[in-house]
Amino acid sequence: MMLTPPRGACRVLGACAALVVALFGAAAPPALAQRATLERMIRDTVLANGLHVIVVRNASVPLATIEVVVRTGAFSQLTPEDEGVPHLLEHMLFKSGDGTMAGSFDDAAYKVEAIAHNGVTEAEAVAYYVTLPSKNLAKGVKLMADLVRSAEFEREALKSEQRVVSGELQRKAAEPQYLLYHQASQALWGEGWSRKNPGGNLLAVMGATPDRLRGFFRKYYIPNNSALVVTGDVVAAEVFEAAAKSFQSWKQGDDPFKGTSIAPMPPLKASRTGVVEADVTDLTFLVRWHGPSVGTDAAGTYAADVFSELLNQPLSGLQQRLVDSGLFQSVTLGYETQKNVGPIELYARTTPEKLEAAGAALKKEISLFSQPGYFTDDDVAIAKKRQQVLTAFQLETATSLAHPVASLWSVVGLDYYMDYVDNVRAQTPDDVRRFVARYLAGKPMTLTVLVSPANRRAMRPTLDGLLSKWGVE
Amino acid sequence: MIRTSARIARLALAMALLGTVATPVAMSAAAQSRDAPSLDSVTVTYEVGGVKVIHRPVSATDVVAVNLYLLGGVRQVSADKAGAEPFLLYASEYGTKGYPGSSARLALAHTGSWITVSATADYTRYSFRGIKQEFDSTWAVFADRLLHPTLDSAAMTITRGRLLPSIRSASESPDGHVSQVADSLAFESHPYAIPAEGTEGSIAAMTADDLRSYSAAQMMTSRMLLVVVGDISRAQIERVVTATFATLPRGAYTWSLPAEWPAKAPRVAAIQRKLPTNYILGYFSGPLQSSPDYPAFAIAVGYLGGILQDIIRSEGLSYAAGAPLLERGATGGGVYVSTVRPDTVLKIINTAIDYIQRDALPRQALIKHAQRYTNGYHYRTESNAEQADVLAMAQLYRGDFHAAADYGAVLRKVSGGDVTRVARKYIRNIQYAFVGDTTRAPIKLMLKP
Repeated sequence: MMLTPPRGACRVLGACAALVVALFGAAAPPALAQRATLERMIRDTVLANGLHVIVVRNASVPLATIEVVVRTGAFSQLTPEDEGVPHLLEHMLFKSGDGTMAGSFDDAAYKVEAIAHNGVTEAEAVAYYVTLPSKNLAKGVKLMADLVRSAEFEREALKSEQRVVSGELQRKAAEPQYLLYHQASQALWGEGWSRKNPGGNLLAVMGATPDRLRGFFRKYYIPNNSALVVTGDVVAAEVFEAAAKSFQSWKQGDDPFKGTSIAPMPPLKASRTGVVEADVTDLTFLVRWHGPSVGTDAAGTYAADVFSELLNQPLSGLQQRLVDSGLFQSVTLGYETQKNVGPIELYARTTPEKLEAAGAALKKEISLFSQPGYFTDDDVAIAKKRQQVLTAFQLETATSLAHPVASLWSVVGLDYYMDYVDNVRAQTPDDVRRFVARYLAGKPMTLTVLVSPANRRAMRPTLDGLLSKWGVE
Repeated sequence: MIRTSARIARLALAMALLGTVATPVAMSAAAQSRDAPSLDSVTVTYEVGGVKVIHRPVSATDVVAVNLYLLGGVRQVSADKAGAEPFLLYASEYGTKGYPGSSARLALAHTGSWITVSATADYTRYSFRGIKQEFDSTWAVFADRLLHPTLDSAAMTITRGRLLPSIRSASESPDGHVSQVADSLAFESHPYAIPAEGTEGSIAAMTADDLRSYSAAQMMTSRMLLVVVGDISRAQIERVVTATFATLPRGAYTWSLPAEWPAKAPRVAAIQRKLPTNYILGYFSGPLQSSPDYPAFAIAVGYLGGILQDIIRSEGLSYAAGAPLLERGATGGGVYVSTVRPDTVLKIINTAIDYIQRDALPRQALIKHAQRYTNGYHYRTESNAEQADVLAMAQLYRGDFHAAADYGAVLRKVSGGDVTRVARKYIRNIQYAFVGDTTRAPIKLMLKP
């Protein structure tokens, strides 16, 4: 249904590092290991068919969110014809279930008094969720089981949904900021772009056949490649019972990744620059690097999140030099936790008249990342305080906890989530410096600039000069 | 057309049938709203030095939400000073009498709290969210920013430099663009015609003296509604308010709802823009939230949105379709869609409106709607900050903060006939904005009376 997460969830986990930290960090004194705290709040089990069931209890309001996540997404688009099939399949599931789904998912959701329901396709996860009164937990679990257990891909329904997905992609293509992201992604990933594009390619989406969808569904939509995450005013034992009852007939399948080698992302060998023209008034710089892969450098992912938090503080040196100086309207850094190379990205927005000075200052700032004293002990203290407070904020909203848990489960597994808080807290300035040295300092990057056609014409020499020198020390 | 009418009728029947299998209303309501009455029962109102306070002392978490509503919104300014209040509050971040220069931000950073400014047509919400252990230290910065902003040239330059691009870029997104056009059409002769965040012209010309004059004239306790939700005692609130905001003059401001904006005839503003699809947004005027018609109006708009979303999506005509409800002082509803087939979609919209105005909603569907409101109330009030906002909106728009929690019961009294009557009364003379390929704009269909 959509490519963005439900309310309160974070698609870009790195940009919301504090959110993940926040989930439970304040529930115990900082000196205590957070894993122990989480283990008191989270219960999980694995059903006989391999489905991982995870329960997070928070009884602040009588609601629950039930989310099923399947380990697929853009990374499983192995051929050009696949590019967008996980997304289209996510749409089609809402039209092709059985049992309580026999009418339509909307009707079924209406019956269980759903407040919100949708699907999300990401780079390394596809998830479906419903938020409903917790008294309807068992009905909701049954509904989600019916949604993902079986599917039929009737040709007419597929045609109709292809038009809907096409409409979704057209809406995205109408958004200047999305055009910037899209072109920057192509530059960053090169030949690997098709495995980083969850929305998909319009031609592949419109050309997808029922057989292709069926193939994906059979391969990936199996319980031993999925998890059920339930958060809110629920009791773990009741969730496990409902899950066992509703999901037990979902048949286990072969490990979809056994014997399949997913090629590593092609490295970014040299810096690349580009320009996107759209109907905008100001300029947006998007600078991106290849960041850590959580499977091979988990420590780098924690450091990436800490570094982002340090730079995004309103009083960081970067914010004072680039934003308070008036050169930029805003500058933010983020990292997205992924198994197959997570992107590090810096967005910076300025005005046409400041292009030359702003561009030079940004280039210089990036060169300072690895300098001694780039961040201070006080920066670290403030970042930790922000995390403590965000922890308390996140504890308030039970219904939005499901998605971060589900998404991280798909990317790297529950253990990463359970240990995340402790690992982030254990980061030292030297850890952060090592991350900068390994992924940022002097490394190839992409710079893509969003600008209006008129401003590009007017500033061509300045802009071309900036781009030609970008990445050159 | 026939096919669409039949489809709408089937949908209404389905909704009715779905209602019949629902849990009995009384039981359901009791189960779902179990914490709403108890929270309302601990919520109190009082006045401190002329500042009206709504206080919900809850201790489930350490989070404290403090929302100060500066009432009046765009009715407090002329067009040339549009955005003065948010400008003043944003600029105060860069220095106050008690916290000169960057020390205001540094002091706030060490609390971990977040101060936000949100300008709307009816009020400016100046708020902070933090933990109770940092309440006093956060309040000190929060209050000094409102009472004693320095407004030096650096603060003015930085703030202006951040506001102007934000205003300029509001219409870059097609959704932002179509909203601006629809707003300008619908509220042409209404106070809401003044943008709450200001215009390029007003923000560019605003001086520090303008802001000081605005502050001197407008910062008065009678304009203030303070809502606090969290583990904070009344004594704490009285102490900090007395020492700060209560030192302001009381003034003679009285909150009132703005006038309605009934349109006399349907209108269309079509804007050519090269886009992959077309964006359509139409507004129609609604009753004030204090009006007996409002509950039925809200149901009618919700019902219209459900029909449009179901039919337009299932026909593969759009990814996004619905009917927004404008829940503010001068209310309204709307129809919204992005589509490459505007003609077909407009026919569906008009048929759906005809249907709602002609055929009464079944009782069961109405009951379901009330249940959904109650569930949605919990969803919208999970955090203390959300609760503070819901309490304030009920107080301002319905005259009593209890009205939000009680609204499910109000909705259950609405009849199908009420919805039909109200739909006929209000869903008319739609003010349409169209952004996209104007050669495909179905003007005649949008000009339906």
